[in-house]
Amino acid sequence: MLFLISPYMLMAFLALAILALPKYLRLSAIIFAPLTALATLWLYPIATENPFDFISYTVKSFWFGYDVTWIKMDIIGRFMASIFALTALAGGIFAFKLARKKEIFVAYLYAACAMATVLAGDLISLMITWELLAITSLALLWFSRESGAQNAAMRYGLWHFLGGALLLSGIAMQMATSHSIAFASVNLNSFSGYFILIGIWLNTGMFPFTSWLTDAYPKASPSAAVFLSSFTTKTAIIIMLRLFGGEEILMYPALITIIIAGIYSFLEDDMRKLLCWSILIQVSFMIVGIAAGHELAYIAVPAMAAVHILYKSTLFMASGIILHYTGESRMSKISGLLDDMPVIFGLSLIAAVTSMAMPLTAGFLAKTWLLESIDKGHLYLGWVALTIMSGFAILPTGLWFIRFVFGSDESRQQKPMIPYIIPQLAMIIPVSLCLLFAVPSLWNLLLHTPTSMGSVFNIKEILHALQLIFISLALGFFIMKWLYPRPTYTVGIDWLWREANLIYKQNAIQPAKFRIRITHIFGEHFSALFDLISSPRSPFLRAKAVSKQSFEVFVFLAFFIISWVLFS
Amino acid sequence: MKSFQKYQFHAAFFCLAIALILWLMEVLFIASSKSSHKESQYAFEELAYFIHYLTGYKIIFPAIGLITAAGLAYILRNLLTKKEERP
Repeated sequence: MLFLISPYMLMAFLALAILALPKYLRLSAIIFAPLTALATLWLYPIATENPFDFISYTVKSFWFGYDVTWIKMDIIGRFMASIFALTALAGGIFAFKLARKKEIFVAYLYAACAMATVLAGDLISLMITWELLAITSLALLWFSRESGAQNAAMRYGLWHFLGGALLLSGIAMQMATSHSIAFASVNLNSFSGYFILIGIWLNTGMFPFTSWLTDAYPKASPSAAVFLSSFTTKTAIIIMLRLFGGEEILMYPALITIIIAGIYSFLEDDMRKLLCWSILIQVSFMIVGIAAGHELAYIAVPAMAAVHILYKSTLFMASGIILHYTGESRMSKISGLLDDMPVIFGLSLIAAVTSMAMPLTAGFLAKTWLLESIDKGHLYLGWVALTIMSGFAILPTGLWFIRFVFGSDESRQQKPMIPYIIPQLAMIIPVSLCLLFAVPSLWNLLLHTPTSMGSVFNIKEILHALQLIFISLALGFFIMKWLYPRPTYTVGIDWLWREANLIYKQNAIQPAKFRIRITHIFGEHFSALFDLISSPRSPFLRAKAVSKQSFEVFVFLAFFIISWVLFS
Repeated sequence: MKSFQKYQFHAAFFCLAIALILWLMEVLFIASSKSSHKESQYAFEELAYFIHYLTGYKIIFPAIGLITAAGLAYILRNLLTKKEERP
């Protein structure tokens, strides 16, 4: 029974009212659903006051011969679910004028699934909520009417179902070997642990899986992008913190991601893609914190994730309004919006300074805690690398977005526009939270932080933060001249397989042309091999004739079964 | 923020000046609060602690990272961008 009145089930049921109610009452349902979920979250008891102890109040049911824990109301889960509910509230109000009711409904289901995932208490409930999260996010992307959204949704779906399949394989192997579905049973000493890690890793968008994020999110509708940017990567971060906290191996690809995303952010012309590169940078910072595994990281990483959700949703709302009004997201084509959208500029500026960890904003506390947790976790390489990378990490949102979207050049002209009031009001919710969370005692209330953590708010840390901000701004202004946005598209890692796919498609239709090319490049010996593969009797082509997809599924299942047999 | 391009270098010098003032403030702050790290047993520890802040590592390290990333971006600009979006 408690399962039915769980926060996320309530949110999902109440979201149905968005579909049923007429437009003049719809806003009340949009506000009421996340607020009810938020209230329910805080009505659940928590068994322990210690944030590092995961023993807590649970809701269980008997599934697959296991006691499945659907809700594990620990401090981190409750905190993250609360932030998700507040973001859903802001996103819902934002979407009221800009999106169809179907889209808002699906967005709320997606938010409910994100809440369910961070509250999941074991591997089975994690698996189910994880898949539902992938399906609802895919549906949200699918409902977007932006150009290219459908194709991007297909690619997004392929990536996430691959991640889900890997996670399922890992969990199945884990259950077969250890007969346990507890989070504590997962580690990287077994093959199953790596399957689970890659499944979750894919959702964080880290190297080498950076492409799905920068491909899908910029193509979503203005309101869908607010939800998408807030939930998928952050749920993955929280699950990774629970399962793989202290695994140093996570740090290296995260550092590679920061370098890649930092370089790409300098080249980006699309403002929403720029924000996506910034997501990757910040998520990488969180993963280095997870790799440190110090007990302080169990507060710093959720804090950083929460603050990141708040300021990034604000910036996505700003970019959504701009896209809605100008029909353009290329920074080389829009600029000088300060005069037309002063309120949006002001709110974006607060979000931008929060992203730069400016003192008196929530970003300062979260980032200082994160770096302190890495230092105390004795991950010195990570600490030095993050200090070096901090300079370019804060520029995409801190300077580039504000400068090239709102700052003007004489040669560019914009037509005057008056944005709706309601989307601007929605932006106030996360922005005010960015300022409110600058108070250390509030964190004490929400995350039960030790009082010593408030001591980072001292003159030395403030000076360090300000030094970093001003030197980055100074160099940012210097280099701006050479890295001015150009009307081009960045080519990511996905370019490799998209080009390969194109070549494959072209040559699958014209094998003779492909044979000539092969002969030209590699000589006659290789073309003989090509003849063997491409002849009508070739086993490859026969498999393709039956069904290319079924053949691929067969290969994947065979790989899964062989690995199970070998390692169980 | 009109015709901002003209004032970019002014803004850069302004921010650089503030960063240097902040660094100076930090050095002075550390020097003036010498009594706050009395626990150092040896004089060289005191000196090392002071030099650690004197280097301005919170300015130098991010500056190195930023210039390197921006330089790489500039060099790889034509390789990593295309004029038309991929299919």
